[in-house]
Amino acid sequence: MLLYLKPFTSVTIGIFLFLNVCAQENPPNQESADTSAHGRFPRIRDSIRQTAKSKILSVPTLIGSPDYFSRSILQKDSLKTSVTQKAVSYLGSNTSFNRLNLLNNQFASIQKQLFASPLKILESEASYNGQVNSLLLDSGKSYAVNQFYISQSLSLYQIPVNVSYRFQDYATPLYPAVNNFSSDFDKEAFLASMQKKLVGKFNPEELVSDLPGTIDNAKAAAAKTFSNEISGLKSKYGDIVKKYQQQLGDPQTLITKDTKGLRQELMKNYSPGAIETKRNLFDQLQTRVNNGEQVDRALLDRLKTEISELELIDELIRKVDAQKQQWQQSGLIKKISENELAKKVKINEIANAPATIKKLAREKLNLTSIQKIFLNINKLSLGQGVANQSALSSNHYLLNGINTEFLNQGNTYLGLMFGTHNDFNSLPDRIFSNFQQASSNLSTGLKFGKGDPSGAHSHVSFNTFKIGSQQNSYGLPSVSARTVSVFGLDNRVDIGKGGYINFEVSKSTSKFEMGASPPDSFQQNKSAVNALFSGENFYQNLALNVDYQNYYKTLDLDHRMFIRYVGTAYYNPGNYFLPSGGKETGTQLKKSFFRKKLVANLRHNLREYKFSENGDQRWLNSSATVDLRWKMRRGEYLGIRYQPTKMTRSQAEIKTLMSRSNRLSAEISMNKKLFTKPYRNYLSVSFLENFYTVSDSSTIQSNAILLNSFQSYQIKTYSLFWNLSYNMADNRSQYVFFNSALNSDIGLSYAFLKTMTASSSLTYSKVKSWYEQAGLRQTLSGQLKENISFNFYIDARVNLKEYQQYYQDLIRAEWGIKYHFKQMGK
Amino acid sequence: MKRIILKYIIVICLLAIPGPLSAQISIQFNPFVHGRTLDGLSTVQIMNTNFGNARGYLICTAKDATSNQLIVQIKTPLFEVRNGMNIIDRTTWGNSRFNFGKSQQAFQLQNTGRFGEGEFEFCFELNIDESKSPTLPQTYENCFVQQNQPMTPMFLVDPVDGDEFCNRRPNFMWQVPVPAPADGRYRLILTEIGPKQDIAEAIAYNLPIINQSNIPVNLLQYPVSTPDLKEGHRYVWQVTLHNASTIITKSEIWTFTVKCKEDQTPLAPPSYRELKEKAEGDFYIAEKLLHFSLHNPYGAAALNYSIVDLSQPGRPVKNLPALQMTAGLNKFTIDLSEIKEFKHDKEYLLIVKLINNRRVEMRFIYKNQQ
Repeated sequence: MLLYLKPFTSVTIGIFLFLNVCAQENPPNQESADTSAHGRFPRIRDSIRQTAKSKILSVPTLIGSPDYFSRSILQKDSLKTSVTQKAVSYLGSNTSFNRLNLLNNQFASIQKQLFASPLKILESEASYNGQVNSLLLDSGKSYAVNQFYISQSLSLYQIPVNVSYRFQDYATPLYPAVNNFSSDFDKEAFLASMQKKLVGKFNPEELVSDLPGTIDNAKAAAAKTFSNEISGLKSKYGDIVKKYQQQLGDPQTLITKDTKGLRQELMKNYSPGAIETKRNLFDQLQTRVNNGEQVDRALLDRLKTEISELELIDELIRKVDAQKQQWQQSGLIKKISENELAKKVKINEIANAPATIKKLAREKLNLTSIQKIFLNINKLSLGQGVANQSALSSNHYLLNGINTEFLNQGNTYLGLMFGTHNDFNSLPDRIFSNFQQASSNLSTGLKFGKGDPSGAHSHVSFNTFKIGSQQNSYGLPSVSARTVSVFGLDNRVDIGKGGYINFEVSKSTSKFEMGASPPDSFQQNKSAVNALFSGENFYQNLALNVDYQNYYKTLDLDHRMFIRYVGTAYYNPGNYFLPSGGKETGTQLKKSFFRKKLVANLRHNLREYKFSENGDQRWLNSSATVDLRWKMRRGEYLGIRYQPTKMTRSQAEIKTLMSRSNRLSAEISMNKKLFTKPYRNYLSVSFLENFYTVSDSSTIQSNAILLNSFQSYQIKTYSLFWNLSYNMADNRSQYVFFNSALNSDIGLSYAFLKTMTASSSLTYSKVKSWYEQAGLRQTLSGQLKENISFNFYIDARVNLKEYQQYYQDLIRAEWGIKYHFKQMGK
Repeated sequence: MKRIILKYIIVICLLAIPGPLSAQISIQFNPFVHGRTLDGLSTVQIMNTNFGNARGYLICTAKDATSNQLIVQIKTPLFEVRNGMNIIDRTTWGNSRFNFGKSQQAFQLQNTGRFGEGEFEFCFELNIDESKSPTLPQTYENCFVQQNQPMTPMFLVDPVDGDEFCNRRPNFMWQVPVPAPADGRYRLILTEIGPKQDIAEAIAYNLPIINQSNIPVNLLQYPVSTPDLKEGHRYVWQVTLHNASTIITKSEIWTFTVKCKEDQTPLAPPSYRELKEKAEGDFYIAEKLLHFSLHNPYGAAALNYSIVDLSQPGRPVKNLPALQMTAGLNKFTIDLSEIKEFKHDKEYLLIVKLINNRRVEMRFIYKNQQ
């Protein structure tokens, strides 16, 4: 559309500008006496506005007039010079070329102003990374990997967009490369820009509701009590109490006021010790009166009044002090302070909430129509992206296509997705040629309802996956072409602050394409719909997920619990890890003790799998993690963890242990000073028992002790380090991964040339009955120039001893270079 | 001479007679590997040792071997059965007619594309429709029986999902799917995840830090030549079970963060509270850090200050850091969390004594939940 608008608008502007030049219709900043070339050309923006307004009316009149080119028209006052004269003088002189050029430049300037701003490149980055490593799939063979990556942050009509392209390949034609293009709307940056524009345009206090009623009531009651006490002083001091009551102001403000400051304020007209001075003087005068002497009565009365005032002030201050003591003891002052703090936190929270920003932006800012549309868009991505709808619909689902979500002011939600999903979508997977659970497909998805997915919501979803329509690079021999439909209901209710309960149910069904001679399509569709909603086999193609999470402040307890059921005939290609035939329940508890110094974590998962509705064989899996961590200062901690897992088979009431592992570990992380220099120490020890059976009824068993230690000592800009990993296995096996192994490196990290950092170390590793190796490791990273950064890593080893033939992974190298483009458009 | 000619005739006859008997078609199928999924049935191979091509269609029938109930019957369209090894091409299989039985097993297969648990009989019947060889039998059939045992999913064990720890060279452990195939091998991928990146995207598209295949057991020590993980960075990992170049199953994707220190309060303060001689009576809340400022009209000197616990006015707090004051505006920050004597939710009074006995102060409540 822009392409069509551009020439049309350009021509129109050109006409107006030309007419403005010719007609001299006195735009405000035009100097009529200035006949120079520049003088005839007022600021383009003003001229367009002014001239366009006048010319819209005058041009038709001018052109429509039979005297358009007559001298009488040219002599009219409304036109100081005629179009023809201007054209002649403009174009006919020797300076015509210059004037045309000038006109052209200004014309281009208009275009630039109007059309340069829609697209701005904010930031760009281009990088190349490479890696050389051994591929153990082909024993002894090394492979290299390349990656080129370009990304840009753009502003398109003030809408922030991120665009990127990635190319990856093995440096061999054996395996195809991976190409990905993706673009997405940067919602966070968009809201941040709105937030920035809103500064100063609204009062944040308006966002927060009134103080909690209890505090208000308590404050009011306290203030009333105090007011009554002050009013009671009238009987002693008279109406002057009223004056000081007004000076004190609202009694509620006294709750947090300092009495010392209050005294100073009330006594500002009196010097310190004034009351004593005045009392002495009054006593002296009174004594003289008693002795019958003549005294200045006015002075005496004045002194009496002042003394009374000062005594009143003193009494007032003492009453305020006494009242404040009471408020202090009752905890009111503390509650008010906490409430103020909580109010600030709440204001911050609400002001930063996306819903608030969107609402205020609509109300307070002058947005373009595109910006208003994008306020309603939660997500918009084109190209390679990920669809994440919910636990039972599309979840961490790689999709190449379009994926978008809308949420309007009325809290109505709409999610759409359309694209393709391919197996073998990653470079590491390219070395494989087959996937037993292949599900390459063409996906479409629709989700609608009320509420944002990240908060309370009620949504209905319908996704279809056309399997067999896509072919990966290798092409599976053949695929049973079918369409899988997944229908879901998703409801979440928020509980308190941060807690929620999410209930989701989903059904799936398949319809086969059947190619050249399909059965009746209507019957097929009917059958598919029946499978979704009929009572027969209802639980077989059903999935259910209930997720509960909450934080109990009084107990300082984080709690999460979930229950999941997936029927044996349920299949959702949009969610890879939703195994059919499973029932699962899990719980997580996190609680801290001793003022959060001790943190306890408990996780437990219980799963049961039954892969057939007939038969009684079940697989029971249990896994748990119990973690205790004692937090100390400066980030130091001491932790202990226990992780048991077990899998048993249950058939005809007989339980058979299939696999078991127990892991007990302890770790400590310390940051100390050793001879005034920072010293860091991390140590972990694990005891591992591991057992499992394989399909040929043989068993694998191993027990091991694993030790990890990282030490570093900082001296100025140098850091000495020593790392050690040791695995002591109690069995000797033909598996290199299962034997006792030691790996250690010692080295130095340092900075040089201001912008470079490096690390050099000597390495040694040994695997019992396999090999002993020694080597060098070097890393280097930094900036070559302001916009160019790089990194390099190499680990090179030699075999000191080789007991058995081992994969020759003697060299591993990585490198990368990145160019960061400066921000443009400014 | 006659005897030699007779021998030749006999030999020729002997060669000619078995001709029609040796020209035939055999059907091969590996039920153990491919009898688990509907797509796997398409991997059937047809060996045509006939001297010419033929055209025919295949009927594949899968039944529950125990109950003899039909699970699925697949009838392909006509396709060319060439001389040699033939596989069913994609288009042919896609155009096949699928008829599912009424049993629960059939329903399960129809919806998931996978056979459930049980004993199954797979029969492949090739019907020759057209052949250049008139003696070629019309139908060839071969059946296979397989006890199918679906595997349980593969679960990850350690590092736990969402974990935070200081170990820059962690070991990895997972639960094997059961029944674990004897010749199965594992591949572990570990890669870094960006701040706003999805875990599936990170695993698929970020260059792996660890990409180790052919692991025969369910644990992996951190590879010796791999660079250490970086503190403060978040990582994702996933394990794949494969058999040669076939992926059998993948685990879920878990994340963890390498973190050696708990989050520190940023030292850049939101504001400095100005100390005044005349207190305004408000309370300042000091969240671990105490920020204050004062104007020093005199020369540089050590800051003469003390902090008093208002509940114990006679006992000033000890171990306060020494601070230096310059001329003009001074801003100070004291990390109260480093001083043991400060207790959460208690009120304190900061007193600063300036030259000429001037005294400025500020009341504050100390907050530190930890």
